[in-house]
Amino acid sequence: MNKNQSTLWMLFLIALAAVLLTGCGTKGRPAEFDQTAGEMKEGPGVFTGEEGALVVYDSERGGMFPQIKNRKQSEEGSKEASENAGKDESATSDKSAESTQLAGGQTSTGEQVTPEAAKDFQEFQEWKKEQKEFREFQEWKKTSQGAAEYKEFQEWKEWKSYQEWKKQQRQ
Amino acid sequence: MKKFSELGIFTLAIALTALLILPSAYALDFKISGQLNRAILWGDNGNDDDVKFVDNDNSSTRFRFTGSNEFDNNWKVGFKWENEMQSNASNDTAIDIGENGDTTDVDFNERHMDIYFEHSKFGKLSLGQGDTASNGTSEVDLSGTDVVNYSAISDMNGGFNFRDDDDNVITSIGSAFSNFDGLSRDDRIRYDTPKFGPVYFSASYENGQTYDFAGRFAYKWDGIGQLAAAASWLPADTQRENYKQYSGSVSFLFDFGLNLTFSGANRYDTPDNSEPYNLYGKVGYKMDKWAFSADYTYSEDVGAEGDEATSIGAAAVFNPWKSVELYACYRWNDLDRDADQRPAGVGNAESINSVMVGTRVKF
Repeated sequence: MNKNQSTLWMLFLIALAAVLLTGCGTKGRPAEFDQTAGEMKEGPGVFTGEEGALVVYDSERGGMFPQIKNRKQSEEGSKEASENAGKDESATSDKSAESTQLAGGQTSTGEQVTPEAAKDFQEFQEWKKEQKEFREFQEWKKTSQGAAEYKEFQEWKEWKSYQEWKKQQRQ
Repeated sequence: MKKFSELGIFTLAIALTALLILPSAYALDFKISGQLNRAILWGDNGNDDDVKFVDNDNSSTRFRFTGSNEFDNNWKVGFKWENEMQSNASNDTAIDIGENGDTTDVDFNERHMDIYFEHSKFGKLSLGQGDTASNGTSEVDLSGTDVVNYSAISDMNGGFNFRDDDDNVITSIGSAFSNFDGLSRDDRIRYDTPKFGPVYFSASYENGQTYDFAGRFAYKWDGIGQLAAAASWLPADTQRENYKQYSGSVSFLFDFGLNLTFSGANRYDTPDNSEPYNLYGKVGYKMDKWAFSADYTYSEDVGAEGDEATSIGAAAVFNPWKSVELYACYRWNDLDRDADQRPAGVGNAESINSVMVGTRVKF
């Protein structure tokens, strides 16, 4: 034990410094303890995207393979919406009903959609995407990753809002 | 191997059927994830040098299944099943410098086969193969370079043997160094308390009347940085683990990127009355996509009484994308073993120089 008393002293001093930092009124908060050394890499995956895992089932997000299903729905939905938007504008079918059908990804090729409905659908898709992003952000925040990544995220948010502002200016 | 595959398919089928049939109480999920970590390892033992293509044991190639079900906003039941699958593990002595062969077969090892019950107020109870309470307590590291450089330094090149100048084998790097990281993973029952602010405590009990205790701490100070620390104690002195041990590590990451890591461990009350210990220190700098570090390790009495093993390393990690890491590490290992601990006619060990360059990809 004597050989290694310096180890104990070092640990004690670090603990003391932590207590002093907290005691001196430096603002802070408890963080999530994440073991990284030796463990699997955290964060996104090459094929699994931001999730970092293939979600086989998630009851909150729509059952089997919600990642693939959502992506497919989103791709199909926007494709159909843009196709339908170019078709006859005089279509008289019920707008809200169409939007609901589009949102559910249940459009049939025979139906015609007004540009307004397509716009509604696009807005709905954007809202859905934002919801997904927010959920991912919450999950990421829980993992308490490094401050540099958080900073990067903030910068990305700023950049995104700047892009939106620029888009609005052009309109 | 075939049995593993059959068992895997069978278990997966049951899990999937259960997920489809059972109505979800609150939130139910089942996920699959994994990573590959392959590297080129060059080594020079003073007599010879060699290049090896290895699986980086710092964070081996693996895949896992996880699932959980939340009940009543308070209870959560889940499982974690993680398997390691390595071809030419970087710490395997079969790939020693001068050995022309590869390891004979792929290593398929269990890491986690664990079921847990978690309550928001009462903590978490885990049963199965998984982390003992003390596992990881020597390995806290916020440097961002732990994929190739952390306190378990022999993960990088533990299979290389120290040799004298006549090429007589003395011992391997893996046998000369240890960070005494608790009881690793094992079949056990483990309890984790809920968090008391930044702190929580754990205890586990394993086969062989072995048990351990640990505490963990994590805190962020606004505008300064974050601290993570862990410490454990193995007081068992029982049938299987006939020694006592304490281990601890602490890592501080400043907001501007500088980070400091320290790890120390000591084993005592051993059958031969030796008191092996390990000291490890690291300084690093972390940027958006880059992380750099340099470390120093000193292990005493680990491989044999009187052994003095020293290692110095330097590492760089680049994250071009969040799912991909590219890394490189240089490491110098040295062993000073007393003459009476070496076989007759065997001289002192030559130093070993190694370089590892590789990539870890999460899929």
